Amino acid sequence: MRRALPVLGLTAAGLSLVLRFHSSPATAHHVTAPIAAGLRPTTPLGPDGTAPTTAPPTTTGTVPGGSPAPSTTAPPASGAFKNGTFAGSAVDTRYGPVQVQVIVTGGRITDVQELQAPSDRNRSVEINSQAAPLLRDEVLTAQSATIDLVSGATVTWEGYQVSLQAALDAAKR
Amino acid sequence: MTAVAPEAPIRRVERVMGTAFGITVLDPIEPAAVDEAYDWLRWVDATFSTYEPGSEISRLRRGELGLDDTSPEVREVLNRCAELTELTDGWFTIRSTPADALDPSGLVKGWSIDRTATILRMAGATTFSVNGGGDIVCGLGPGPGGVWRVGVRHPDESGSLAAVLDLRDRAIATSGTYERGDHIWGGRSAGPGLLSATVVGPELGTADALATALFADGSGLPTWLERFGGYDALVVTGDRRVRWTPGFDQHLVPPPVSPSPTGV
Repeated sequence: MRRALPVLGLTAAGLSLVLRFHSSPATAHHVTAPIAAGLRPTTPLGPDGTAPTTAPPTTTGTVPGGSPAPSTTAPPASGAFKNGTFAGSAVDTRYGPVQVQVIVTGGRITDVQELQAPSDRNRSVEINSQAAPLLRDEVLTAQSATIDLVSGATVTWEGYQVSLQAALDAAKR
Repeated sequence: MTAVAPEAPIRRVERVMGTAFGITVLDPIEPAAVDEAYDWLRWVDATFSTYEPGSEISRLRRGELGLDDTSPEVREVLNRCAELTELTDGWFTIRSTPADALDPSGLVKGWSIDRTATILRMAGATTFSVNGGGDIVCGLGPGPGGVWRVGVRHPDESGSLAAVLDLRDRAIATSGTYERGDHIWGGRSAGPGLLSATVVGPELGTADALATALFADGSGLPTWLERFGGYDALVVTGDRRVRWTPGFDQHLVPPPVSPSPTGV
């Protein structure tokens, strides 16, 4: 059954040639919005508060003047996590095992710490030193947004993420 | 309480194809199905590897193996690569120059994750995800409405996300300068180019190839994208703007409304 799917996919692509031809050239429909430095998961696209789903088509956003950091003050769902220290599972990545733990104080994630990190190779050090702060940043700001998965993640990020998820699961009430 | 009782949830990650493959299944299924899924991925790695001298692709490159002697899966992938090359006006290609050895890696990972999802579905999984280094097939998710909440990595603000999406029964792939993707090359010299390209659609193989092609093209949202029904794209351009196709709207999670004391 599965082997038929690529054929179906091709058929769908062929159909789309017909079905979508009524529309104007692609570029005329595309919504454009500015992307700000330091956007956080809770404010993914518009520093001016423009929601992507309400942005009028063909609108061009303004150049961002500065990016807000609203999520640091966003109240998380209170009591989402148990207080304590929760270790994630150790995850084997291309660059070595990765393991993190989360610290929960007052029902909030207050820190993410590395228990194991690849460090025996230069490349590992380079990648890891980049990934760790990211992850911490992401977790602390995204705890109310509850990001399940990240597309475009790096290998090490993925390892951290899996370990982190296990830690978060352990910390959940 | 039998030894082979279904388990839930199952969260595993294993190293395949030089990256981490995470499988999460929230339905109770036989754990053996997840073993089977990883066995499949390792078979794909051994067959399609461009690094392992004994792989079918390596033997094909050296002329030790004729196309007719390869696995049906190899022929299927190469045929699909040829279709994708044509449909993307040449931006997806298995050869960076005509003299280069063939390298179908831009399709293989996503295509193999599609099959992995099929293995899980046949074992009874409906609520699951398969994540191969940031290229993801989402089944139903744990969130409201049965979605997975998926962040798109910000291309150069690595602690941040460029967009947040709610996906169910969809695939998502992102190509960017930060990845180790040596299968990406080219890019138009005119214009700001792209920092990253994300594609959402029904199949990850195609989404992965389209993200690669968009990134190589570099012009933004080219008209060839219209040929792929059901696939939508979001790109971050070199001047740090986000653009997306109209169909992408349905996936985007808007930023939260400004705090209101009476808000629900």
